[in-house]
Amino acid sequence: MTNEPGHDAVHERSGHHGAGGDDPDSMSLGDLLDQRGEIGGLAGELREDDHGCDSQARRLRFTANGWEYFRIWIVNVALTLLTLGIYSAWAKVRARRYLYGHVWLGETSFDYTANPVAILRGRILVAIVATILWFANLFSLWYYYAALAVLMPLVPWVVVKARTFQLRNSRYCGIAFDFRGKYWDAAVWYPLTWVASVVTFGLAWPFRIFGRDRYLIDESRLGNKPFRFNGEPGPYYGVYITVWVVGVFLFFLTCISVISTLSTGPAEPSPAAVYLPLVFAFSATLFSVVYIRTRLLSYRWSNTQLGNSDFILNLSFGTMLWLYLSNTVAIVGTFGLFAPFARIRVLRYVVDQFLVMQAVGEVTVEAGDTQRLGAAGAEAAGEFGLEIGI
Amino acid sequence: MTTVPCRFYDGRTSAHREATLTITTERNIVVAIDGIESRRVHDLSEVRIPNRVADTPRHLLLPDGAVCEVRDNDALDALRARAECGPLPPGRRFERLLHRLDSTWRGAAAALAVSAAILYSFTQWGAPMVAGVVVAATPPQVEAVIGQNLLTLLEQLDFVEPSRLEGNRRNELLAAFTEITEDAGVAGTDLLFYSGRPLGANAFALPGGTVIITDELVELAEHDEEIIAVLAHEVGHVAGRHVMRRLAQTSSMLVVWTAFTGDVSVAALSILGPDQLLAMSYSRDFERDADRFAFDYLGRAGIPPTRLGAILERLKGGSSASGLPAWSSSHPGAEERARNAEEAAARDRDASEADR
Repeated sequence: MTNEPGHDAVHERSGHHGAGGDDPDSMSLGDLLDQRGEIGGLAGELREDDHGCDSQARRLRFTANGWEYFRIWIVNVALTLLTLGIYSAWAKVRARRYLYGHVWLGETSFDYTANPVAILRGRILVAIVATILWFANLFSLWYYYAALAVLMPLVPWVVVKARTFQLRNSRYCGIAFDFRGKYWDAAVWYPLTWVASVVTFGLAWPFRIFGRDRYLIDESRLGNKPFRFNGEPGPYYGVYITVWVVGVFLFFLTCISVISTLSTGPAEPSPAAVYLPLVFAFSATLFSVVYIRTRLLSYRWSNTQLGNSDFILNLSFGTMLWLYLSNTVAIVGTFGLFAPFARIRVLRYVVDQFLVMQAVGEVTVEAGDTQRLGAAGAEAAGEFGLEIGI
Repeated sequence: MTTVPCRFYDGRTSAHREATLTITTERNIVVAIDGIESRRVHDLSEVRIPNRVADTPRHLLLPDGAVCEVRDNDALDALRARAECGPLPPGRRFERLLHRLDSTWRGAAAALAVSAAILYSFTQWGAPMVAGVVVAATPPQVEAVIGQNLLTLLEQLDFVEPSRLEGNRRNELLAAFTEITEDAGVAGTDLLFYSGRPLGANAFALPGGTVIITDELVELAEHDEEIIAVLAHEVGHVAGRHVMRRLAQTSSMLVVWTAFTGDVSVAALSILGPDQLLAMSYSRDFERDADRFAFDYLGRAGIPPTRLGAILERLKGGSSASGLPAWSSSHPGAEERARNAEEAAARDRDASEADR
């Protein structure tokens, strides 16, 4: 590897005055450096020696290669299709291990240790539930709603399990992350506030996202060190109100154009009728997905602490929009083959913007109880490797 | 003895020590930690060595929870190969095959060929088959609910207004429509009249079997038989449950594309591209199907099949020819359909002459 991670960490520090010259996005790097200055004298206290896990201020680095990831991805796809989806659990672990292994903090990269069999078990469980719902739906809509009502109490359990599984299988410097969330707290931020959001016509939704983030972050830890979220609901409302205003307008246009092409009548539809709904639907999706993701990811991490260490993440909406737009065009143009490259491009941008401000004196992290209990304790979390997008 | 440099983490704190690792011929892993005079010996079978993934560092998990991070993957594999004599267990053989596949271009090319073949077969034969099974299993009530929701949406968005046709006229067309459905044995269908400004001269079938025809189309027709031809075409869609099948095909494609791209949102976006083309070609097949259905009925009813072609020509003139290539259109070209109509008419004449 020509790009030794340690080298970059040193460069980052010594280049405090002129850094960013070789960075394509020197504007935002400048912003990052400014923010670092504000923290006051910390830069001066940085130690010169490099001890991997125990030094002071670091930028995360991403060293994955698009072509290398493409090869892993296409082999995963082939084996998943050949095994009718069973291999997907192994594929997931392999892809994740590649990505985690290329995220560096200091001289050490992250590690993903999930057991594919547990993920397979989780996926089978999800498939069984989906089949039950599908059959219930076939018999009558009332059975379907009844099945949903029965499954609802399981949602918080799934949330806690999924988050715990994900974190306990992520490691840094041999120390596992962990999650201590309780069922009833998850019940508040999952099914209960869904209801609240529906009742308030979505007005409670940004608050729900805020509360969910706070719950997920506050209950997470690295070893015995807890994460803490200092964010407030206000900025969440700012993000969602912007999306609503733009999104409602585009969605309205989408609805109109979709309905005009729904007709299967004998008339030859005009090209505008065929492509306009796609353009509107695409703009609405792209804008809301990218705007929410960019703003909330930045806000979430910039207001998170681990022990006394801070994080800074300043993503530019323009850059993210360009990445997503060009990725989509490329994915569509290559019949999906660009997907792995697209993933690497976004991850590279986000990870490279990530700055960890390690507090002076906080040198090492100790393992949490779960990990100290030994392998049996860690395995207990992994009976079912449930994954959900949380 | 060859050794591999590694970083040793005791699993209790994040502090690391430089160390070296070796595997002896007695199948022991020996970790010699710098700085302290300490050697740790573990049986190879007790140490979890993760699969090699490209050149990412491997974290070897020792039985007491300590971790050895090895960067030099080739050296570790060489050490291991030397210690492992005799045939490898299947798990280890698969692991090596996997690494050979995704670290070489030949392996990736083979994977690409296999994936492309499977995806092609699925879109060509699998998706229509799955859609057929799913639609057959969908109860008509569910389909009717979907259709009703769409109609409500059309009304709420002011896409359709109440019809201005006279009651007599409507009854005439309804009678013709009932004749078609009874002839085809399609139960539970309904014909609704609307005046559809943004939709213009149009007729379409909703899931559940409701057919909608606009006043503009009725006015455009120069002969009632033309309207009957269009209605027969739409009843063809109802009989084949084409709208539901198209929905099911798109959904099953989404599932497979999700497996392919590994991400629902990416799949949903990329489905707008390739799948949109496929969906349109499916829908061209559906249109041909519905045309055939219409020709059959028109033949039985003694109506010249060219009536369908005639009104199609006029509709095409009204909507100013699109100029798009055939594959981009959800409907077969009007010329092609007019030609099919001529052929059907010719077959019809031959058949009736043969009867005589």
